[in-house]
Amino acid sequence: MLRTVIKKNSYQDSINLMLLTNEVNALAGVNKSQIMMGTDANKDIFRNSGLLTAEAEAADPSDMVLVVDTDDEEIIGKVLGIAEKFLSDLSTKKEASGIQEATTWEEAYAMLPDADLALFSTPGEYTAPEIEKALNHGLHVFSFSDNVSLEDEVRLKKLAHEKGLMLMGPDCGTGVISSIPVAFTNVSKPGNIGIVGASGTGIQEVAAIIDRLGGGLIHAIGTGGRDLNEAVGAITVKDAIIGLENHEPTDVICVISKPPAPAVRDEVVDLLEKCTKPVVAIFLGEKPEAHQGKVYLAHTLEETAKIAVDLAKGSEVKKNYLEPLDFSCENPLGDDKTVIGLYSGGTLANEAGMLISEALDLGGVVKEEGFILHSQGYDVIDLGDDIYTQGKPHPMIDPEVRIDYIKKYGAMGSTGVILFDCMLGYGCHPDMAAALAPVIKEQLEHAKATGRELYFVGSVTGTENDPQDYRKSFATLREAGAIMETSNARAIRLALEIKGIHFTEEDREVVPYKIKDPSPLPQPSEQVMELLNTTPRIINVGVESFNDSLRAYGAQSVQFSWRPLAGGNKRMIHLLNELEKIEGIDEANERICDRFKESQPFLVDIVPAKTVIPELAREQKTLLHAGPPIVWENMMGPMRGSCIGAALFEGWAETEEEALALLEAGEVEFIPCHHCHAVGPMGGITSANMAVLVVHNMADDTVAYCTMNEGIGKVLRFGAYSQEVVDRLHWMADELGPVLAKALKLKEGGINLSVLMARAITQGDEFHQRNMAASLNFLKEVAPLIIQTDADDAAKQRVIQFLADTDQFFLNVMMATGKAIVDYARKDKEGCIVSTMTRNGYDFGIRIAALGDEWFTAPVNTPIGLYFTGFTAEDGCPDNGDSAICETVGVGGMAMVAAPGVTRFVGAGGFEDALNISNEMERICVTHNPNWSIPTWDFKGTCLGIDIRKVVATGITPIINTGIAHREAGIGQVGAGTVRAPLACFEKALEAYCASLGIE
Amino acid sequence: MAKEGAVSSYVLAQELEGARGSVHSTFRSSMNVQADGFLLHIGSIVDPLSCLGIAIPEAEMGTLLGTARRGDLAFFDKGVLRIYTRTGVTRIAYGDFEPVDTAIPSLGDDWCADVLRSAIAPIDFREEMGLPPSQDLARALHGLSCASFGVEDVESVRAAVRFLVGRGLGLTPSGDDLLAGYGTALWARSRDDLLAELHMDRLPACTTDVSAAYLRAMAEGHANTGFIDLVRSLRAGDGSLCRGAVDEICSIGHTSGHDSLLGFVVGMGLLESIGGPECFSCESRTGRIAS
Repeated sequence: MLRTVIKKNSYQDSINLMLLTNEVNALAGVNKSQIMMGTDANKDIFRNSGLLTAEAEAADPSDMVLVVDTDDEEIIGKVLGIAEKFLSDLSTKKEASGIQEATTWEEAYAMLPDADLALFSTPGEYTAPEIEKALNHGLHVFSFSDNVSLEDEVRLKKLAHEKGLMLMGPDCGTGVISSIPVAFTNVSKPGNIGIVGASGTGIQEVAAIIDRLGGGLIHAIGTGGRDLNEAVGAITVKDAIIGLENHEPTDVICVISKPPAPAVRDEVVDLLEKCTKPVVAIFLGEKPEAHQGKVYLAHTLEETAKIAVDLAKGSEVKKNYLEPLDFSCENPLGDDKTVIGLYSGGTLANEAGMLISEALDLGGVVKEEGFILHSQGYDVIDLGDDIYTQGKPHPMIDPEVRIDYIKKYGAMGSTGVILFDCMLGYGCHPDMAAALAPVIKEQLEHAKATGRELYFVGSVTGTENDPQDYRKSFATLREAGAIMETSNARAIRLALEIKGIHFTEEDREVVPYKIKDPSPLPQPSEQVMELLNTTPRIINVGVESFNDSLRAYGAQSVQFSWRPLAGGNKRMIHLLNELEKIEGIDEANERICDRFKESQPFLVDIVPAKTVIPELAREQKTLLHAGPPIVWENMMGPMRGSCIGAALFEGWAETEEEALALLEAGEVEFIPCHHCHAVGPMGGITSANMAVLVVHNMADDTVAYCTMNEGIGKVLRFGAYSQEVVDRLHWMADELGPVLAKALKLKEGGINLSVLMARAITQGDEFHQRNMAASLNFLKEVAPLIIQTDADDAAKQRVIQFLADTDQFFLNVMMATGKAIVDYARKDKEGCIVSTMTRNGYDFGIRIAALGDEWFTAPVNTPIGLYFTGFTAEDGCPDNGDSAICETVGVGGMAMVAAPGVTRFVGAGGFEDALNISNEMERICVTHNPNWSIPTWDFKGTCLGIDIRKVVATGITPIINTGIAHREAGIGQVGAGTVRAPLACFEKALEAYCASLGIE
Repeated sequence: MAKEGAVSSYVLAQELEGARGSVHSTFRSSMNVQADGFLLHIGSIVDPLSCLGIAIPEAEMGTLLGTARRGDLAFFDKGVLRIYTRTGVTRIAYGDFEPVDTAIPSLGDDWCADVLRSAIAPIDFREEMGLPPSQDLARALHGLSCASFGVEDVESVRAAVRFLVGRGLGLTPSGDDLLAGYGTALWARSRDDLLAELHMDRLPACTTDVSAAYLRAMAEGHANTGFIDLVRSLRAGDGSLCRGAVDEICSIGHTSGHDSLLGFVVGMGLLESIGGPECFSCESRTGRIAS
């Protein structure tokens, strides 16, 4: 049984149709099929295959004919579906190779569909909305980014919790998820200890000591430093504790925190008391006198690690973990000497400040201008504080600031001991020990030479598996003269020992604890348990090097090379984010694009403008012009010249002076071509008696008009108005137009322009700067018809010769085609697709589907390109013309790759540049138009549907191929180039669009 | 989590609950975990079960060997062994496995030596064993053999043990394997009195961790399943079963299987049947059953 489907006026390349035929033939239920254009030659092929049905025989050459031999009634629907899909996307698939990189969330999700975690290291001011996007997509978040407001942190953590997700951060520097090191972190042995830490370097120190003692980590969940703030209420800490309590391989829960808000601390301790697993906690800054209930409370980070390891081994927790130092000081430093702490790790600085303050009764730690301790000459500084890192890398990465401070304090007579840390791990300096060793050695030598006592005491935080060499780091610093200890706590004790202060720790017993909130332990969410029980799949948003540790240890990650939306314009970012929450916009845009695709433009006639444009048939002298509305005073030279020429053509004036006087007196009304279903090239000046092309969009009754192309050189559209120009206009109106009109009447329905364009685009045209193939194809269509008219032979010859000589003749036909398409599309008044782009030498104007006739304008740019001999950029006129209608419908500069030959002409480079431009334009469009398939672009259709959201988000504006007129009237074209639409138009349109949707 | 598998009765008798340790060593088809002084062997279910160990499905063994590294932490918790690897936590629920009895059965008085002779006849022990022939080796084998003949020369047996323990290359030195096989034979022949004299329980201190573990197991009366089957075959007088068990034993390791079988043969009093101690001195003789 033969079934036939005819797709009217749907030109496709024969190779594409062969590929499609193969695909259809492979379907179960299809005996055989053939898909070809309905030309006579192809009908023979259908006949020879036994597939020529009556419908196929009746098809036109521009119809796509699909004949299927099948016994299955239902098969035709399936075949049609395959054909639609095939034709919608004709690009050949590229092989993926190497590291994948996404530039949008959509691309990232497509690359890693089962991602469960987003890792952020983006500028904090832009990060909150991105975190929200990730959470709304169901991803847990690890935010290394800081500078997120407390208000946003609270809101986002509540959102995360509601969704069963965890927001680790902001300002979370360190983490381990299922033994995978994340961000700035050390490589610990995998093991049965789980850490929850509101402190990056606190986690690092504890983890490193655990590793050295033979223990291991399964998770180290960073929560960000503010999680135990009263406003945040320990949302992430609590979810993490509950998660670890229910995570079978975790045997010990270890909580590390800076001083929490008291009420929050009580809630956390209550939670820990209800856990069945052994728990150790340190609230840095507290000096616990006893363990509370089942929660073992530690005083130092080292003690925390030791208790955790004992719990992990099932050993009894000791009453006292203080071990003697391998150091004694017989001649301690005098009272005039102090201890200085210069730290890169904030928590280690806190620990130093706390222990020194306790030992010397200095009143506790502070947080003032980067000082953790600043009392009686005892300074402990966190060099990672914002004060010290403005415009500079963190001291864990760059030693410069610390070296300066070492020199400063080293030179001070009151400095007795300088305490310091050396952090290893992913993200840190590749050899911080070697970077610090010289200044330590230098300061010690200098002190010795001047008879001063000076000590450097430090520790290295790291493991044997870190990228840096732990043992070598330790040895290097020791060789430089520093006294090195195996933990920060021991280093601090040693420093105090040098001051004659012997640090002690009282035995700690367990005292009972009464749980305040007797409600049962909450259950963890499925998503948290999934995160804890699997190896994470991560979208890395920001710093590419964060992928290193993830991939080195077996996690899957994709790189999202994030850029702030809208070039960082926060107003625009806000609008874009709000628009994302509105449903239906994409669907509306698709409908607009469908209108573009289903348009069927036909050239049906050529007539005097006044017979089809009522505004030109009035008594009031009227001229149509290119671009958005403009007044005479703002018109550039070429447009003014065109006006003079039109006035002379219409007989409103005898001389240039008279014409100018008329125009300057305001006797002529100016109306944009676009307001009259017309378009005009360059100046676009259209007057009553000029001949206009008539293009009818057969999708409905939409009609559009455009004057005919005059050729090159001194022509009206470039502002020339000599007698030659006027005479040519008369010839075009009196002979060219009527002869062509007669010829068109001989073609039933007119000339199918979409089919012609589909053919010409495969022959190297992009329809703005290059129309050679289309003009020739047009001549091929129309010449036989011209011959058949009753015009006299001389007229026919002149007309045919003119068409043969005018390579750009089709440009104006294309413009009318574009207008007929957009005016049809504009009848659907929803969506944010650009429906018009145009310029008048003064303003660039756009319109969008949802906002009808409203213009959004901004000053035009001047094209950049190549100039004819004798002319330079100073001669060029700012951007002009309705020809941007080409780019509006996806051709011209938007399809640069179709005409690589034009790229050099417009000064845009070679094929590679043309390809890059087309790929760039693709990013601001919604889809592709399968009607106009480009062979040099893997047979993808032209870009379709410029979406103002994408333009504003990416900052990529449409590129337009254009001629360049001389800025003075009467001289004509001086070059060709490209010009970008100004972003401001799209931003204004976005504001108005959002306002129309109620977004403020 | 690996749930299907086998576990030796020797392992089940250990108090492993709460034990903490790490991956000791990994090989092509098996690995060892050491926890609280006990060495646990993990192998594939398709291979003979070690008395020290557990056996898991072959595919899971492959996965585990692909991810576990020496030093990875291991914990025993409520019948589940958890190994913390870089790619995740492997759980082996050995508590649910099929228990296999690895206690060395007693032969009794009524066993047929010819069954054993026949099974070992094709084997040239001198060629296959891991120790080079020497006067000292010959003397040691003679010393071991004396006990089997009932000659109460404990000192010569002790000297033989001292010579053999820790002797040879490899994870389980040949001398240890020979002693393990010898001790197994003594258990089967209910010569635990001689075993006590030999202080076999002190031997582990003198050799590798793996060998020590096997010697300890032997000292407590356990052996690999190959030897269990061998003893049972001799008790039953089943020649076919005996040959199968001999083949299984010989397939173990590079020379370990032959070394331990030699020790067993000596312990069973059949040294003369394979050429006597002279065969293992420097002279060139075959260590095969004399035809």
